[in-house]
Amino acid sequence: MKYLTRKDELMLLAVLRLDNNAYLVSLRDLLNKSTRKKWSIGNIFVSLEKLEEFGYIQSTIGEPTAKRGGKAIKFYTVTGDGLNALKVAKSIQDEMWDGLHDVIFNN
Amino acid sequence: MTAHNQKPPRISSWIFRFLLGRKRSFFLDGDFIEIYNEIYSQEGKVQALKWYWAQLFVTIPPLIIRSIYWSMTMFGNYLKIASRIMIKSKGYSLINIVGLSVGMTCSILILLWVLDEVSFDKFHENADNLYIVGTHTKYGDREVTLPSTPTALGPALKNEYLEITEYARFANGFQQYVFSNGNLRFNEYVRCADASVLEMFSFPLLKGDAATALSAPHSVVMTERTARKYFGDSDPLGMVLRLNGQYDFTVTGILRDTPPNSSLRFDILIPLAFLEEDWDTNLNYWDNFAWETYILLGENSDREKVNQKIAGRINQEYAENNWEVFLYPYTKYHLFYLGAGGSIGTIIIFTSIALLVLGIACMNFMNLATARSCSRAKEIGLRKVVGASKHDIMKQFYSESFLLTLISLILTIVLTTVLLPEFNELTRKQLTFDFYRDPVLVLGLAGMTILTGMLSGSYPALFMSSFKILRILKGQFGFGLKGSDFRKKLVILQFCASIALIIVTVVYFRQLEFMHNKDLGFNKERLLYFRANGTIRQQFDTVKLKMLEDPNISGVTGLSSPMTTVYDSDANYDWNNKEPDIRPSVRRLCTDVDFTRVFGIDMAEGEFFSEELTNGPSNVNGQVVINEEFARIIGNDSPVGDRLTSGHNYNIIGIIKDFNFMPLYNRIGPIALYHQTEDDAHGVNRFRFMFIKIGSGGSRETIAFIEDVYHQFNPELPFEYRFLEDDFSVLYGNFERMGAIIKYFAAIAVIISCLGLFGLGFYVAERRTKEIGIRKVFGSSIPNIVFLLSREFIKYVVIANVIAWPVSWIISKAFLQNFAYRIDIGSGVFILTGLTSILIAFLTVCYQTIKAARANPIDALRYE
Repeated sequence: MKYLTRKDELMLLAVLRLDNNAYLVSLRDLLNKSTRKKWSIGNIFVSLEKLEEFGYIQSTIGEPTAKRGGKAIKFYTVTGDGLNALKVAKSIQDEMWDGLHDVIFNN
Repeated sequence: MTAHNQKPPRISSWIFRFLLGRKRSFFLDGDFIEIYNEIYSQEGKVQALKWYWAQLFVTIPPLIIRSIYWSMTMFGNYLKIASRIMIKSKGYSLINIVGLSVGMTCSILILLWVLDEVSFDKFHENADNLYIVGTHTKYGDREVTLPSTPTALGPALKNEYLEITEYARFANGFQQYVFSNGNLRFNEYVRCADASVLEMFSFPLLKGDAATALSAPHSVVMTERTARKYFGDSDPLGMVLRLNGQYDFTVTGILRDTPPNSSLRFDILIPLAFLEEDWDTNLNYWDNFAWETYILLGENSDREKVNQKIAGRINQEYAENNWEVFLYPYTKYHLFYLGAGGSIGTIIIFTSIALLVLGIACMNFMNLATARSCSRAKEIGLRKVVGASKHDIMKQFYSESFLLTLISLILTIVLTTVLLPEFNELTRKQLTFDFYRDPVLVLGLAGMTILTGMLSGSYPALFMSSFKILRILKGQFGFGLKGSDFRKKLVILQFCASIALIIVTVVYFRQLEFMHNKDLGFNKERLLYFRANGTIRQQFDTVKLKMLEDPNISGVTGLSSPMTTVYDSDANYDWNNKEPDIRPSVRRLCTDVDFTRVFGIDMAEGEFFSEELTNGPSNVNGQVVINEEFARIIGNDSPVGDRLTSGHNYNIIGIIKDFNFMPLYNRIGPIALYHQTEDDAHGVNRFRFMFIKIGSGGSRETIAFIEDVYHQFNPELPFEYRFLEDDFSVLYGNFERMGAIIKYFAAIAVIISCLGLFGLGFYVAERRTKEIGIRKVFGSSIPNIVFLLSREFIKYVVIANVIAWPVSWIISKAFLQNFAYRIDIGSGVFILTGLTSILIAFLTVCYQTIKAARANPIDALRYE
């Protein structure tokens, strides 16, 4: 199983967070706020495509809206594989961070 | 109020569409528009646009990377399919690969050749400022432009014009001298030049000082290889060689071998001053147009202005002169001669041939690929059903053609490396195929591969991608009128090119043969000649009498030039009623009374030098014989008995028939013959060569006899002789080489065309199996069917001929213009080539059509 990159992981978590409203623009807003860094649209677009290729997320096509100039919208949801990948990532994270809390925060 | 209907600039949509394809870019557009709108309504248009451009700029790189990755995956898939298909139809792939490889190999070889020609003379450090001096004149309807200049011109140009900083003269051609070091003696071909030549040009000295090497009149500069002949491994610098057993020459420098891409090549150089000493040549003469003069222009000099200044320099010396002097860039000399001619003509021909052959190979590919569409149609239909766009199908076919081209490239590189030595033999060059060293070559290779791949793949790609899906799946594909029309035209074009090539080649060879056999105006057979050195020259008559003692020797005479060219010339002639602006450059030849006998030339009028005239009252020193051309220029009806003046007065005693004394592609010019007793300053005759006519009973013993006599007079010098007819063969060697190359390429073009026709025949026959089956059932015989199938192809060939004939006629005519004496093209070539081409085409498709015609009709009609 491929390890999630940090970017992928953040992306997946963001999709989960946004529940039914996870599409490129909203994801971007969320990520910009949380990571306090400006993400470019292309960056997010490419990541989403990759994640979809891996099978961690799947997309559904929504209604076109006026505010999008008449273009339809692509919503994403995390798949079972995606959840598994997140589980693995978390467990590795926990293992590596275990016991180092004091060292990192109290120095 | 949130504005929802603002649209940002459209450029982003285009870029996304280009990078991602329509489907994927769709959503991205929407995202961009949404955010744009938001910012617009919150912060206004300016801010929105600022965001837009910034974001666009940042977004593009990751998208580019993504689309590259995407394309590579798809390309990998195409390649896999392409290689499977290639393996499945090995025969067809093989024909294509072989055809493409051969075409590409031809192109590369010619590219190498052209690159070499273009690189001529560019290695000199002063290359940009080096010029060769040319002279131009008109008399009557003749215009003459040559690099032959008066000996005095060089120094005059340097001394009188500020912009000209240096000059260097070369005596024309090679002088032959015998050098000796003790018992080691060799006949050498030597060039004589001014001392400045070593500093003006980049002929570096491995040993010795370029500034002084040729200043002393008896100094000699030679290549390492030459020095080794005389001195072995010891240091040659400062050593002394004996020239012609008479003069001592000191080796003052060792030259690096002159590079093959140099117009000036030599192994030995001696100073011009020696010619003054040995042959009484006037180094400061305005009337002798025989030498080459090169000059160096100062930096920032304007060539046009200088040309204007020097144009009339020669005319200053004589009021009636009509010569124009001009400078021509040395780096362009080899390619363009002095403005017209030179090897550029050959380059154009060769490049056209290369493109033609390559084109034929590509056309082959196109034809074969599309002819297979019947078997591929189902596959294509299926792909489209599964969602491939027209674009995708095109990409697939392009990758197939590129794959084939790449494999051909590998084969091409192998072929080129293998064939290069042979090609070098053919072209007398030393070309190298080091593509890992030469970026231009790599570029050329890459360019050619891409061009070939795209060109060959274009037709099948475009053609196949436009099939209508349903028709294909139903099995109702036709070729479409557009399809078979184009393919017909391709086949015709292929054959057209091949036929034109063949016709031009035949004309070329016929001209060559003509030049070989052309009546030179004299008999060149069994004429042995050698340099009349030393004692022989001084005691010429005695030697001559001794030679005549052998019964197999029918004649002996002396000449000042070797008959393949004439060294000496004079432009200062005057005659009665001469028009002021006519000043032809007349060649001068010194000979004796036996000239006409030995060479078998007749007199047109008057008499030749003879014993009676020699011993008679009229001073033979005042006699001259001119040729018909000179008489024509003089314009008088019968100039015999008239006066001819150049320095002295001469009496024209006869007019000799025109004979060729310069290479055959020049018109015969005027020449004046003088009797031997034209003495030089030492009172010795002006014969450089002794010519001996060997009778038909002559043999090796005769030559041995001649050698004996030679050594009686010149015991220390080696006997080196030549036969005049061999010299003439060498003169035309250049043409023969070019001819051989063209011959090969023509053959290759024909083979490729036949390959194409072969493959095409196969598929057409396959397509018409049902039709053949039905015809057989209805009683048609095999020959009938064969005839029917071949008829179509023969029609193509006939049309190809009709097109090719005028084209090749024009090319042949243009080529023959270069020759003063040329053949008639005639109709035989065309008819013969036409019939042959029909025959070849027929034989090529024969195999396929016979096989198809013999097939069992039941098999053909079984499936419906």
